[in-house]
Amino acid sequence: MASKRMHRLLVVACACALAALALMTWQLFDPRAFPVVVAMSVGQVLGTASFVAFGLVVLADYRAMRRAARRGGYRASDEPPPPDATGE
Amino acid sequence: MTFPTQPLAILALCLAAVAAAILVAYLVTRPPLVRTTKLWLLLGLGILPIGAAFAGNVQGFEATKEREFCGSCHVMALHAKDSDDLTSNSLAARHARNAYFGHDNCYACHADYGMFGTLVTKAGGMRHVWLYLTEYHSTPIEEAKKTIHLRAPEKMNANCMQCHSTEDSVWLKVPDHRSSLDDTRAGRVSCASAGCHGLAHPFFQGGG
Repeated sequence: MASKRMHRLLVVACACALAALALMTWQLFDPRAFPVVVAMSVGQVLGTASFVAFGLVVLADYRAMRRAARRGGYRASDEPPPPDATGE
Repeated sequence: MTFPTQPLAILALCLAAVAAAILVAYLVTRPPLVRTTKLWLLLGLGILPIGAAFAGNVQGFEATKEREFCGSCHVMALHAKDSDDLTSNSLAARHARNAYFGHDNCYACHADYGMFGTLVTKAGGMRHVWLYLTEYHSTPIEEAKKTIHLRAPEKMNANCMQCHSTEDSVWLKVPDHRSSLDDTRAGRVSCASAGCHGLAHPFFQGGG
């Protein structure tokens, strides 16, 4: 469940980052007042937000991994568990 | 719309393209969140976009100095057109023909001086954008000609003196310069007045 939420957050982050990149690129092709201001404001906010979201996902995954390691269980992410974690 | 040729713009485009490719690949394949995926996403969401933003912002800041940028708001179109006119004798047009800063002549003459001049100018530019979006966006150019004005006309001589220091011996040889030296430095007599070097933008109310 948590893993699914993290994946969804990553998808949103990727979409935001793509929008931010599009805005940043737009100002290079069309250096007028509106595109430049939008790129430097909305573009920056979207880009920063997507990177922060990625950081949160990595942090959450790391914490879940640590919790799982303490319990000897599976990882929170979809990574296949290492052989020692399954007792094989 | 033209393809950018500046090295920083090309760098920004390349970084953005690689980042976009990584992100699209992630969205299409949706791989499990293993270490390799995280590293790719670190590139696609962090390192490459930050690099693209940095290069793009520097390029953007440079673009904000150009006349094309200033003239992109319709109320400034006449100013830009006059500067582009090779036959115009206005003070602005004569400065626009200077090989060193002619393409940035709006910025060269209107930017504040001093350590924080660039920052103050950029902040002032944001104010211009705000005013344009909220007040002047739909204003006909004929009406704008009557209402747009310099916010601090008394400071304009200081901008002229960024280059024309008023200390140079050749400059001081001119009788009119000598006689009005204190008033010019104090901003009481405008360099860009009809009796001196002519209006910067003579087609505009106030000419400033």
